[in-house]
Amino acid sequence: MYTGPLIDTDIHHQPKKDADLLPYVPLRSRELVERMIEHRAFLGGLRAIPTVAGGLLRHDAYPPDGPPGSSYELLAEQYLDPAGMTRCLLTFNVGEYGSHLNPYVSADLCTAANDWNVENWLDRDDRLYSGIVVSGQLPDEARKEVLRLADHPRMSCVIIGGSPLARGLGDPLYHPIYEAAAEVGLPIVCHLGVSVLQSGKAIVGNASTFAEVNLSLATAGGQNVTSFIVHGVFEKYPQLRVVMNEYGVSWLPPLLWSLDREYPLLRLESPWVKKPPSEYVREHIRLATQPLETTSDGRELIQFLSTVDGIEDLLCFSSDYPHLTMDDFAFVSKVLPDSWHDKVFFENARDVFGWHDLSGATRRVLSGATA
Amino acid sequence: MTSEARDNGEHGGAVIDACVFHEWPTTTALAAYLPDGWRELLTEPGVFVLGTPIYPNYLASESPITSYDALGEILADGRRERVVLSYDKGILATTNHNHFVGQAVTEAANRWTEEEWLTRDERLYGLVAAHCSLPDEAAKEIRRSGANPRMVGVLVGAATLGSPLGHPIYHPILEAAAEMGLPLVLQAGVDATENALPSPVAGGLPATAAEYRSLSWHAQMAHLNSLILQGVFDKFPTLRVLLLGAGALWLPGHFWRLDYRFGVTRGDGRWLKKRPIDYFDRFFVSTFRLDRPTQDDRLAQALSVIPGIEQRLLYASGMPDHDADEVPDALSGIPASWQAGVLFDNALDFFRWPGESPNSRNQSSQEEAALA
Repeated sequence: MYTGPLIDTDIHHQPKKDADLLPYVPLRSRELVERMIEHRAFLGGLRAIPTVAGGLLRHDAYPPDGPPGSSYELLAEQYLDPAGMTRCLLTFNVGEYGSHLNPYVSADLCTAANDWNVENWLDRDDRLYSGIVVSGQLPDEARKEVLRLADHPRMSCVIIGGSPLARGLGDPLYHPIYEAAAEVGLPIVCHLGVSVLQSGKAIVGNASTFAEVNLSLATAGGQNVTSFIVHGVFEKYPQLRVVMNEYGVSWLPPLLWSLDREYPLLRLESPWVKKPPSEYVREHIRLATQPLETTSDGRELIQFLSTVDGIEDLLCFSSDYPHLTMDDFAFVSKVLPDSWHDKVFFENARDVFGWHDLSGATRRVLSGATA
Repeated sequence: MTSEARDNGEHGGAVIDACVFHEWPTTTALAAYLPDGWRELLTEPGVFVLGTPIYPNYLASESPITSYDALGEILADGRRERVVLSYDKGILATTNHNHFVGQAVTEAANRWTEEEWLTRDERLYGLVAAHCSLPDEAAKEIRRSGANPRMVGVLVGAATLGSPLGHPIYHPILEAAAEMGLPLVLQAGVDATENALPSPVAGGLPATAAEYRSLSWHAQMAHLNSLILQGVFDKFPTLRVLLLGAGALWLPGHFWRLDYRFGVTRGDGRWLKKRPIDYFDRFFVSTFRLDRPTQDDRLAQALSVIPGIEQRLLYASGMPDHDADEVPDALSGIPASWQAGVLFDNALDFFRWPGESPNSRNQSSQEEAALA
């Protein structure tokens, strides 16, 4: 059992209610957002996930006064303390405020989320870190938002809060965001559902079941990785790195092979792709592990992943707490080879988020551990 | 070749090529098979009957096979005992925004193949092209053209009705195929035309053909999910599907994930008799555009996580496509013990060949399915 320092790159926190964000919404959108809240409109515009019977949140993760993920105390008691968490990344629900179809509301919801986050969570516990949520729709405003909060010591990344613009995330229209992130030395975090409008519910047609929707959303991970590479984002911003949250991992090997095979055509269509695509992935892309695509002991998954040498360098542990489909640390540590543990549970995330203050950290389990 | 030689994995013997692309040179070539009225209109110069691909195939062959004689080289070495003819571009007639044109051209193409190709050489076999925009008409055509014993499968055209293929609206097509004992062939690229409003790729349309070529499996995945989760394989237990031209190595992670996600929700798919992962044996894959590891010696390691893959991988050259592989290259990295299956036995099992009556095929498959 792995006993070293533990980093979780995907924990979903959220306000107890949408109205909690209202005081932080810039005046430009405040009246409209107030009306949206009264009408119980979904602040992310379009739901990435259809409503399913029983919901998608752990039944035991509801605090008395809000949805799962809205209580720091319950998060600490139920998860951070027993796991001996060293540090974690709070990523909002999906960070979907950027998906709202009204670009100005979208940008203002992101600003509100960020300010709410700073004031209500980030100084409560030194394990809590997060990212600057931005809307993809107004890249210049997003850039300003990044620069506004980049100095906050707990803001360790830029979270793309969605974009309904139906372009892969590497498209030039988003480059001002990446330029800003690169300038301030922060990686990008891209979470499942961020391309809600153009992806998941409708590859070749409307999906009829939750499983289909979820799988379509997951498939956008590979599309966005491809997009980053093809549009030369990593040539333009050589320091930039991207973390892909909740897309899973098993799609990566065949994507690397396919893209490398397409290199001649890529060079024709995108001459700024100067290296084989798999090299860009190794240098610039990291994948959060959840959901590990296995329901059994994972032997076949590891056999499959091991076809790529050094794939363990690309993976960062994530739980997806408090979703029903979260990965339990104990389960993941049994599935992954022991030789991968230091990297996946600690070093890779430490490096991509720049948490070098953690070198030499140890892990303290603070209460009755089940791990 | 002797079955012993086949059992030894020697690939010096006969081969079934599950995909060679043939094309009609111009609509005029189909004139004899088009109905009155459409014939005059569609053979006018400047009339387009094919949907336009979103991503031009910059690597397309400059020598499409537009007549039997053009097959000469491919057949000349004598190794191919059977060749299944598909369409590279022709199937895009099924994406024509005008349903009636799509139907007329698709039926004409089937007749053209039956009359001008299958009669020329016993080694040639065809696929009934299915125009999905009009499911009842497509079903009729499957029953008509599928009665020709040299038609060995159904090539599914684009799913243009706003839902992927498992949706009940397409079930007349699936029912007809199952009734005729014909398996389905899903070809990469058919959903990626300008008329396709739902995106053929997750996350938004890519900017380049190179991206699309690495992501073209997304559409097949959506159809696969839909076929499984809508209970198509319970309704039609003998139906099987060849996923052609978009690789195979996305499958393992996908079926693990699908199986897991299916269990999360109460309500979705309660009608299924088995778990999603149990239906993955309905799907076959081919060597054409296989997404091979960069290191050859990893291919078997990657493929062998798919249960039964050695019985479900077919050799398909894809001639005359730029990505076409002749036999030695197509077998690169594939274990010797799999080779007889890949080159012959699996295709023998998958397609409906002459002499196999639909009833006997269906009966034995049903028996198999019942034992499973």
